Amino acid sequence: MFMVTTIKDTVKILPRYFYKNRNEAIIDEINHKYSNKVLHNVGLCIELLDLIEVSDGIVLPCKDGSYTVKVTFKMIVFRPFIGETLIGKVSNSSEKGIKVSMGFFDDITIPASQLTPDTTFDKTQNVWIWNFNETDKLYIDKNEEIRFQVLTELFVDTGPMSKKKPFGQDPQESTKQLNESAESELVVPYSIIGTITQQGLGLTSWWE
Amino acid sequence: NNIIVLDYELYSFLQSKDIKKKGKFNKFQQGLSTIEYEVNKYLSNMPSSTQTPEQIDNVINALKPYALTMTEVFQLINLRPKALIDLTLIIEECESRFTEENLEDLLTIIKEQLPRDDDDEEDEEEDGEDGEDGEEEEEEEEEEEEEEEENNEEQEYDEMDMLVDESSYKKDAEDDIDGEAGDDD
Repeated sequence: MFMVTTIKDTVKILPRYFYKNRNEAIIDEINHKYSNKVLHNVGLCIELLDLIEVSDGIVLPCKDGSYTVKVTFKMIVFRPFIGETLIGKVSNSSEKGIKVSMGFFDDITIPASQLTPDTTFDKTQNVWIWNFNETDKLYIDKNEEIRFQVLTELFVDTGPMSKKKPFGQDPQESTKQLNESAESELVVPYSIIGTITQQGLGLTSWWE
Repeated sequence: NNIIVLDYELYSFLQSKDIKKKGKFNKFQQGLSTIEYEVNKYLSNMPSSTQTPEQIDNVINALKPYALTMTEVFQLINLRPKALIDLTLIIEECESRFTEENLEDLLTIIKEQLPRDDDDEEDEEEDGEDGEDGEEEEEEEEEEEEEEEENNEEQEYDEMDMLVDESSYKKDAEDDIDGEAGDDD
């Protein structure tokens, strides 16, 4: 579920960090920028693994005196492949399906259509129930360990809006646009859609 | 240009780092601390937490006769299946590629090479049934699949070279700049 990818970037180290060893400062900067952040079409960055190449540094005296370097490095990324079997915990249930969390990554959804065949939603208890046979009913409870397969992944570019505003736009217009986008559903940069339709998937307690 | 990493490799990497930076809470690195903590917590509950490099080398060698794809081998090691049904999730077209006996042997290999504490309860039931049969089966398969193996081996197992660089995780990152370039290619 984890992989290592090579990234090139320019790193700027402020003078206040010059007390650090150069490589240590570079690693700290990179981790500060990338750790626990999603890179579009790459995955959730965990941590820097190793530096590969560090160019000669440049200090720009006319700006803030930062030491600028071009760095090539290896980054550990979380990105399961399609079809991979993963284990997580049920975090939330609703009519639409269930949400699963792995602790470090929460945006995993198993929609209602991808649940074990023959499951029904109980509105009073807010829980999905697998009608295993006539007498046995198995509950998909919160915080239960669940095994699922990755069906698809979805990357959404949540960068700053790139629409060019016409010169001299009314300031009230632009704040209105910002407010509208904030009210609409929170967009998640990287999410996984899972499935538990296949035999062997679902709560791990079912198959023990 | 992406190398897939075993859970175990990431776990040991995080363990080695924690030892170095113990007690140094850094507000500047909140993202890093959070994710290191969470990933470590997650992996410590998975089979990867008790694996060692030797076990992994051994299990990879033991699995070679099965000519599994790299993703299948990785999942077998990460998930450490205990039952036949778990294998159907990991191995594609399981039933057409292997017989039930082959699969039972595969489970035995995994159990032996990657032992876990909870195996003791199950061991009492299985007593030497597959012992002799298991060895014969493996020899037959080796002959049949030798040709395939030769072609696939280089592609599939190149990434395993990462394990050789185990020691580099434990050195300070500073020392590695010169040595690391091109090591993993």
